[in-house]
Amino acid sequence: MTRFAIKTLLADKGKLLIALTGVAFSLLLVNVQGGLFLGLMDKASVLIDHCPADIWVAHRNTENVDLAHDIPETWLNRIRGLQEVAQAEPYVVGKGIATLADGGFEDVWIIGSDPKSMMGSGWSFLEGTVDDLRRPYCISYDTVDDRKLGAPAVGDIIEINRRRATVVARTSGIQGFMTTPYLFAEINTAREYSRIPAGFCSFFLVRARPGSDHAQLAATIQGLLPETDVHTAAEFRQLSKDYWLQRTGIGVSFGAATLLGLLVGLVMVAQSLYALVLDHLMEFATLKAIGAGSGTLLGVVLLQAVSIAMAGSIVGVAVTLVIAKYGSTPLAPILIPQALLFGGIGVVFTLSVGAALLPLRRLRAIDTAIVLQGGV
Amino acid sequence: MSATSTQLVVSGKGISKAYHTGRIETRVLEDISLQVARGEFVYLVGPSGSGKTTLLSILGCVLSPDTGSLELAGQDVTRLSDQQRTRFRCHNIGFVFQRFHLFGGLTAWENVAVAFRLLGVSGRKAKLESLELLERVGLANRTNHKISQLSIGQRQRVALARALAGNPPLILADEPTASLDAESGLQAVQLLRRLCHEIGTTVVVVTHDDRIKHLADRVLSLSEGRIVGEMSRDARTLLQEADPNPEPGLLASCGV
Repeated sequence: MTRFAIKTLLADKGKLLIALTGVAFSLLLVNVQGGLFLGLMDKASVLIDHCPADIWVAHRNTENVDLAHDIPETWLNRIRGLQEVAQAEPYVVGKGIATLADGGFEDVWIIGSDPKSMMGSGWSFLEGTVDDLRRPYCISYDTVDDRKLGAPAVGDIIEINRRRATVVARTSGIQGFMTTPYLFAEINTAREYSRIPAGFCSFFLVRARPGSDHAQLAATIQGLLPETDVHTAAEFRQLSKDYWLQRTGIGVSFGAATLLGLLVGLVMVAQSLYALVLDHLMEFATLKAIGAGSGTLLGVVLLQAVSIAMAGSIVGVAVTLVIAKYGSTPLAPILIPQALLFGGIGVVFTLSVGAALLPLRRLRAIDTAIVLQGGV
Repeated sequence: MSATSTQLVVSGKGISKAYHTGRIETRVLEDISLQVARGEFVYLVGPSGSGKTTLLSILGCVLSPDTGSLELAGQDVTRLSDQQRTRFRCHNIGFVFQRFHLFGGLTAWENVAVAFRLLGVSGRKAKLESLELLERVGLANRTNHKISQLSIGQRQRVALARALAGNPPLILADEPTASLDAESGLQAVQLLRRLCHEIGTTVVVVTHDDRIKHLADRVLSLSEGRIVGEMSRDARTLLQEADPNPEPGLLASCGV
């Protein structure tokens, strides 16, 4: 009955188009909403993601990489004494206020790394290098913040908390969840700009020796420094994301929008399938009269639903990939991992097939006798 | 009727049927008994509302009788479930509907193949069998035409081919000439008769069409839900030989 199902479907191109649009629209919405959500969440841990540290040590109750509290740098010695530790360095994530050339002000985060290793410093350099940032009072900024910072050029001077800073490098695509500009520098400069007292920092970045158990090492450090919170990089990444997820309700907003999109798509598919069945009611009655059982009729509608879901998914995926490629920006990144793409297809596919259940009741109630009563 | 029970394709006894609209009961068939032998070509005639279509629906296992019993092709179908009746129809009954009810999105051969597919015939074999049937009804050169590209007469023949799929023991035709002109109608019924005669299929035709009545082996006349007259071809021939110009109404009362 495949031929019957497909040809009946193709016979009404208007309804087919509506159904395909419904599926494609649903899939597009699931992916773009999901991609924007993941992109936004990805920004919550961007400093952790691009830092090679295996373990992050923070002040107790620190829930987010952007919202740190000061810890005394002397505690580092306890960590450095551990055999499993290859490297342990202070790291600063401090807050400052930049004075712009036009007299305006802009909140900034100043990220300071140990000048020897520059662990956790900037990446994706357009101009300058990380070596340029080893020099005192030198900073990099990201072009995504051009509008906020007045697009300073390399060599320009800007003022941070009333101290001069020379722009020596520009990066591309570095932005945190709060969209406050990240300025990278060496740690002493960062401390001075963000008014963190000498001898204090925001985090300890720890690199473990190869083959060591990170979780075990984190537990050991936690035992040595009970006044801190010690996380593996993966744990801290999740903690930073969860912070924004729980504090902002962003998950609910994106989830609701996605659900609404799915619902609209589902209604479109269900309505189209229902209308298709109604339009072809006499054909279904004829099929039943000449010996098609309920299972066969259900099979026809399910096949039509699956065909719509497949064709609609192909269109939806194509449009999604185009939008993800050309619509994604550092400000609003769209991250569509394979799991999201295939998960979205699975959900939309399931809903489309589920939509076939709507006309099923009507189908089961078909009175075969109508074909013998001169019905048209 | 001299046919033995093993030769009977239709054997109904005391069939009654009523429709209910709210508390109102409309009795449509009253104590109908009929037997149709294998290969017989039988007409059901009668005025509108006489119960022809309801009787055809019961014979087609589309409706169940309220009372009485019905055997089709040797099987008691009186109390079959909806699912069992559907299965029985698929394997034992071919339908030619008044408005053909062909599938508009499909070609001629695909329409016939649907019936074969329902019988469980594989796609390739279904196509070959369909093409062969269409050739037998004279549509060898129209097999790939869509229904909308065929004339009314050609559509009728596609419907006939579909009904013949799988050589069912019984074919039921509901006003098969209603949509056709006199000549096409006559040709269609002649074709139906010839093809069914070749394979020994029993045919029951509901018709109002006087022009084709001479093709019937037997005519059953219904009125107000009862069989009020029955006449065989031989009896009709004898009557017509005796009086070529009978009084109006004399033969009509017997459905002739």
